[in-house]
Amino acid sequence: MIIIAAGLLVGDGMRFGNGCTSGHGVCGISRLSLRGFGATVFYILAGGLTVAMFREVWGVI
Amino acid sequence: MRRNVSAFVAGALFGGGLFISGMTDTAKVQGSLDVFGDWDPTLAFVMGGAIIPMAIAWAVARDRRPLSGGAFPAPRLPEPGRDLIVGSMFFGMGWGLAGLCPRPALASLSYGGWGHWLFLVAMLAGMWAAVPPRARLMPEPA
Repeated sequence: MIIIAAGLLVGDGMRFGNGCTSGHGVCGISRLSLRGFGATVFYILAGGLTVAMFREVWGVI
Repeated sequence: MRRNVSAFVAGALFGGGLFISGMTDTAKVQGSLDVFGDWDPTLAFVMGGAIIPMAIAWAVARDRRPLSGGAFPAPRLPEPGRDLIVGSMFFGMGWGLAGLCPRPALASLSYGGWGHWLFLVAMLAGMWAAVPPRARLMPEPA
């Protein structure tokens, strides 16, 4: 269940935000793109919060 | 032909790098996002280490064209929009839940077991499902 939800979110987010970890984080930041920086900040923030909630608070992952 | 060879070499290099650096290790990826728990910040060095040669590559590519034809991709829209923020938040949530992002998910298919295939199928479904709402929010520039 979690894997399916995670896959849906990653695929959805990738299309919506036009990129992924290596796309925005590596290619974007290395050419000093504001979108690259912005995306990286938001996905790391969301990833950190998600792990915090699901692992530290609910203990499901 | 040259294009295919360079794509193959680049893909092999990238996949090998992801594997060696631990980006395909879901527990390690989740550990690197687990800021409030048992935080393992080592993967930040992978990204930092990847950005340096990539920045050099962009500098070399400036005012040049690929040997195999075509052109290097130009930067897209100049500033972050709603699409970028919403998309990145979704992406990060999924990334944290599974410890997988697209490239490592593909790279680890060969040994990751059925869970990784399930993730891939769900990811493709998510990509497909994102098209209509995205078109409404952000009309593609022609």
